[in-house]
Amino acid sequence: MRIKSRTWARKSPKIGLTLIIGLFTLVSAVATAQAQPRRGQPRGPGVMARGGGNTAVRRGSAPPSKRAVLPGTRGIGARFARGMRSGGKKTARTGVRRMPRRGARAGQHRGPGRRPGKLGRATGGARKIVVPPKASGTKLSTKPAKASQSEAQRLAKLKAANKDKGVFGAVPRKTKTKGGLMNQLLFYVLFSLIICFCLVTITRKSPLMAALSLLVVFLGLAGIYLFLQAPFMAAIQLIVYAGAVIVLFVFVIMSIGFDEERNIANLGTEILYFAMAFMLTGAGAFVFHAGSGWTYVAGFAAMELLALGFIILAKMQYPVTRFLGIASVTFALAQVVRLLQLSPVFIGKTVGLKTHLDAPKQLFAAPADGSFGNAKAIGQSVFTENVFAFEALSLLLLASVVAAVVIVRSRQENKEQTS
Amino acid sequence: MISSVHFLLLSALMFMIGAAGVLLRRNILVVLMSIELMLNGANLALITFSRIQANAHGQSLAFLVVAIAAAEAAVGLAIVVAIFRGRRTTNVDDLDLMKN
Repeated sequence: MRIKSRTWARKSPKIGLTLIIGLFTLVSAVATAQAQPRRGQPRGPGVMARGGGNTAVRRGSAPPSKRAVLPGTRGIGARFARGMRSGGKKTARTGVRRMPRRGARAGQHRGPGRRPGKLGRATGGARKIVVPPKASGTKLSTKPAKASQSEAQRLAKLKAANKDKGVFGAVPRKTKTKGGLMNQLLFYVLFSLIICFCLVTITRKSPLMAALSLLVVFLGLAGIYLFLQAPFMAAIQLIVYAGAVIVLFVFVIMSIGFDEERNIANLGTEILYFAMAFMLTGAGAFVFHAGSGWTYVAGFAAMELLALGFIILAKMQYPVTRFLGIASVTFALAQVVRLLQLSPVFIGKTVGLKTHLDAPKQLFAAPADGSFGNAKAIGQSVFTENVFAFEALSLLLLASVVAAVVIVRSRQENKEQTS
Repeated sequence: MISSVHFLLLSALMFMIGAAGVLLRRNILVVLMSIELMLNGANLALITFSRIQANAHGQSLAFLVVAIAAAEAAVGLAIVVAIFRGRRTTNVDDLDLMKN
């Protein structure tokens, strides 16, 4: 009944919401425009923390093309280059110096002794679906570009020797495993899928729709678990959640009957519609993350224009004001997606996850032979150190089964049973 | 470019959406589903930290959480069925049995 009444009083908060989201859009657009160049920069003390008005921000708002051409000559990068050169092993790229960033990166991957070791250790064999290491630390390594060619080669050798020691400079900017880009794309698609269907779950009127979208969330989470080298947990997720719990939910929904799907919450529907459109296209735009500077921007703009076109086609019959509201909502969501791209640096700096971010190798601390998250490892953990919890859990499960049966039986049946 | 923060962010978002569902929705079934969402978000955080530390205990803990969530769903849905039998509703606003 909350849904049906479409009075002005009901509409006005929508307008307020639209205004707020539009404001947020503006702010986030400015924030991203300023923050995006900085994502390539080291998280030296205060780089992300300083607000605005200082040199870092002003430098950050340089046009992307300029950034792309001369990567190593920017102030902070050069500063770090000096610091690294003094630090010796914390070094940099191998050959190519004056190429744009993209080419420079390609050159970087031809660096001596980098790829075989990296591939074999971190992402070999069946471990193709692994998280590429956080590359922020390595962005440092792309900065010091002022060194001469021979200097760079010397440093590259040094780095190869010290590969396991230094975090800065030792990790490639991007682990370009085979299909690494596809892995990223897959991750972002799963990410947006999960978020979208979480929203669907809590906004649908019909509980059946909620249950089915919950199923999608669980399936996506199983995929995410595979990213985290937890195949056993992925299997458990599929079996227990997608198999048992969802069936239980659907069974109960069917048995108690559900309301005819009445007027679905309009605002929720629209937000969801466009959230899905934009988040999925935004996820597609992450592909262009591989490109730097204008490549990325152009790809992102193309994706968003595509989504906008779809929306215009789909929502042509609506009044203009409403469309503007929807567009601002969707654009805000797109900005959120874009901000997400900065999240490793941005959020990590904010919540103080600096340790793991600065040491991206820690995501590779697990053995690469697949013995990390398999049933054997989990079984050893559960049946040795956590065996008490396991036994307690078996009691809990027994109690819950008995409780479920007792609760569901009607009082009539209970009386008949006792009398 | 995927780092642990992405996974933790996903976990936090799932938890927040689940919490919003628990607080905002009135259908008790959807509330239960939102609780499942929250549990899944917590699970994802556990597995992520397990991955970061390369420690299997996090995953075994997540395994136990899955079992607890299954038990919770069973009992919760049994309660829903019992309530629906007595009161013909799944709206949590109508469930003011203790109030008067």
